[in-house]
Amino acid sequence: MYLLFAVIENEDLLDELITGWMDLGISGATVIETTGALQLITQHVPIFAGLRSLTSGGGRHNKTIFTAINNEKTLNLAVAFMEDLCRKTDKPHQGIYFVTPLSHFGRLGMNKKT
Amino acid sequence: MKIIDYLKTNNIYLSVLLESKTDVLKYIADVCVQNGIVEKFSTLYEGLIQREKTMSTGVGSGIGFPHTTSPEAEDAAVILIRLAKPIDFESLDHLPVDIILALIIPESNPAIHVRLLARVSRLCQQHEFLAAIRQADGSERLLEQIKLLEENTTFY
Repeated sequence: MYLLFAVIENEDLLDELITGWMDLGISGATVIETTGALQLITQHVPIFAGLRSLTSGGGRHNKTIFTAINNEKTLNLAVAFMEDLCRKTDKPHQGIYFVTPLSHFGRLGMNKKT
Repeated sequence: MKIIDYLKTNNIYLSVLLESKTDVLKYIADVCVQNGIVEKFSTLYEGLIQREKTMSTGVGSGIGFPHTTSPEAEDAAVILIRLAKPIDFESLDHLPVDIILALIIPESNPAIHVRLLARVSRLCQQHEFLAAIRQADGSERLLEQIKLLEENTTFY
C-alpha cells in the first residue's frame, strides 16, 4: 500500500485531477489548503517580497491532496495521469508529488452494516 | 472500469419521445423493472426524484445523469436514452437535454458509485462520445463505438 502526496499549485487542475483519479479507482482522498514556506515568507517578510513570482505566480496558497492507494498499478496510473494533466498546461511550477510506503490503513467509526 | 461493463444493448433506447423530466424518470424506473435490474418501480422512481431534489443532474451540454442507489440492484447498470425531442431538465446551463445516462448503483457499493460517476463525467467531456450517441442508428453499433472510444482513452 502506498501514500501519494501531491501539492498542487494550480487550483484550476483540481476538479479534473480528482475526477480522473476517481475514474481510475481511487475512491477517496483528502484535500487541504496549504501554504509553501516561500509563499508564506514572501507575504510576511518584506525583503522576500521580490520572490513572489517564483511561488506559483504569486499565489498565497496551494492545495495538498493525499490518498492511500492499495496497489502499484493504480499508483502508477494516478501519477501518470497527474503528470499528464500538469504537462498539458504548458506552464512550470504546477506542483510536486511524492510517494511513501504505507504500513497501516484503517477506517474509523461504526461499520454501516453492523 | 469501463462504462461498457455496465451498459448493455437492451438498456440503450434511441429516439424516445418523452415530454418532461418526470416522464424521463418514470421511463427509467419502468425499463429497470422490465429489464430485471430492480423489482419495485416506486422505490427506484422515488430515489431518482430525491436525487434530483438535491441538485438537478442536468449537468449541461444537453446531458442528464439521473442516478440513484438501490438495495435491490445486484450490480450497477447504465441506461442510455436518446430523446427524440430535447426537453427541459432544469439543467445548470439552462439548455434542453437530449441525452440521458441513468445510473443505478447497488446500495452496498459506494465505491462503484463514485467511480461510475467519474467515468461518465469524463466520457461526456469527449465530443466524440456525445456525437456517437447523437448520430447513432443502432444500439449494437453505438455500443461498439463506445467500446472503441474507451479503449482509446488515455490511461485506460
